Amino acid sequence: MEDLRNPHAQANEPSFLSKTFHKRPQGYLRFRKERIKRSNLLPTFSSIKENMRNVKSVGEFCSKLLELDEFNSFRTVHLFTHEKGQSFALKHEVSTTAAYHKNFHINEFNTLFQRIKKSRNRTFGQDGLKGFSFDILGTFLAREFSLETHNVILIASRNDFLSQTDEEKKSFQKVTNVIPPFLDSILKTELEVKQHSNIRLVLEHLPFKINTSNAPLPEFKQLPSNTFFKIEEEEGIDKADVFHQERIALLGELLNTLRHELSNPLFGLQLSAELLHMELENEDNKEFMHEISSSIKRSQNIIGNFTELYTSNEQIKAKDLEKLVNEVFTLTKSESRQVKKNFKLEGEHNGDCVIMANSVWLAQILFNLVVNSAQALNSSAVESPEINVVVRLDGPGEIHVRDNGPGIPENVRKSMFKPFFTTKNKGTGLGLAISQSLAKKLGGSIVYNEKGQGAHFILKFNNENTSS
Amino acid sequence: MKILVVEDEILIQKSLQIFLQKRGAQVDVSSSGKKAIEMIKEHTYDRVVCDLMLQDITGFDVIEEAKSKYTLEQISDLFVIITAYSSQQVLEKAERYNCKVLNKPFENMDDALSTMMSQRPANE
Repeated sequence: MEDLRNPHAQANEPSFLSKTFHKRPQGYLRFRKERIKRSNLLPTFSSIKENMRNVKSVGEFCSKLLELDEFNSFRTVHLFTHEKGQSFALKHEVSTTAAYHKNFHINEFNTLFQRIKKSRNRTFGQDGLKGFSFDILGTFLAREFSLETHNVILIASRNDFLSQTDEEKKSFQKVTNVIPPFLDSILKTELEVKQHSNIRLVLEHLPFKINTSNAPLPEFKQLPSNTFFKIEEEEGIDKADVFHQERIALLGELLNTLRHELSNPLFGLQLSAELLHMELENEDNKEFMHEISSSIKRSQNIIGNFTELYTSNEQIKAKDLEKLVNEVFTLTKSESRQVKKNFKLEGEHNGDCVIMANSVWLAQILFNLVVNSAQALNSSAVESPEINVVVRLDGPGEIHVRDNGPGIPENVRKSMFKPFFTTKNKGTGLGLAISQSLAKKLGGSIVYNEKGQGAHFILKFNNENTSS
Repeated sequence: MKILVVEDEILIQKSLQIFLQKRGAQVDVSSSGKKAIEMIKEHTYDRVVCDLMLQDITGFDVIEEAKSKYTLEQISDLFVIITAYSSQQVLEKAERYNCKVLNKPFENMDDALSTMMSQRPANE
């Protein structure tokens, strides 16, 4: 049985730790908590944290420090910060009457930092500051911190010449033990803001226009709108497109070869079957021959469909969408054998589903969507897996592909059209990216509909056959 | 009508032979292009139904060899090319000989057989 107090204990391994834990009486933890409470540390920590939680700037941080109970004897807080890599440091001084900051020499900062680090009791008199270019009135306590992006020196002073009491030293120690993460976060945020505003300044003053995409910062939105243009994430998709075209070309060649190799034997079978059908007199045998002929024709169609799918044909031709969808269904059979696939034409229309568009691209997109759905259904063990393709032609062309699978979670939805993004072990992550690119070529797009269960993709395309 | 079918896919060869025989033609067959050239030189056929992709040489090679016996006009009447290749290059080349070209598999069996057996006047 797993010892929940020691999550690292193996289930069946009697580790030393879990043994000793077991031996301790249940009351031990409660006893420890009481001790902590009595030493007044526990509530103090949480109140310091509460105070520091929403502090946004270094200046505010220093003010908050002075407001703490533990710091009620101090009058002034000096905070020296050095952004690692910068050639200068900053000195913030906050007292009950004033607050300001200014630049501070890096060498002095480093010397002071080292001096404080080496000091044992962290308490300094005036002579501790000889040679430094700043003034601190009286005795003071100091502590240094090495944070992620900054080195920091904190100095608290009462502005008098008396030495600090033990109580004061303890309080200072307490507070400076707790504050580093807050300080770290504030400094990092300030750094980010500074960097953003630098970039903004540069961009504002460029002599030429610059394109940017998906600018998330509100600051950018405030700039005059002719400074920025939104661009699509073209780079990623272009690379994927080239990659895809190469693969398609190779596949096209292979399939062409395959088709020619299979074409002759199949034709031979077709002719022989027809002949035998003519020769046979027994009705059952004739019927049998007829079935053989049908199988052969089906084989020929399948090969024909495959090669059509992989040509880089750019033609816009009239095509019966129902026929196209059924051909695609056939092609997906290796993945979708167990899945029920339905086609439906919806909406007010003159009844047929003949469209004018590049049917090769449409087929490639539908193939991808149907295979994705089939794979999701196969791996999710839905009871009666179904894929429904619904077509609306009473306006711009719309093809809906829905399944009754688990749907697509939100965190996947926002990246699923990106090239090379995949949730499958053996996925290339290109299917949807390329489909979206093809949809664009068709004058439309692919959108995901979040409503309802299961995945629901809508392919919109330009149907040159609309009566409008 | 005396016809030579040059085709290396056996089922196609034999089926065509039987179909044409049913329509009254006398049909010889060959799987090899070189053999077909010999037979053309030795006998007089009214028609040669010739596949382009043969095992040894191409149908065009057979046609070229036939030039030693026939004029270009006669060649265009003599040969009916059958092929699975529908590429532009192939069609262009066939056009140079001005022969009829049938694509495999035949869209319509009857039409294909009629073309193979069509009698064109010698001086067309």
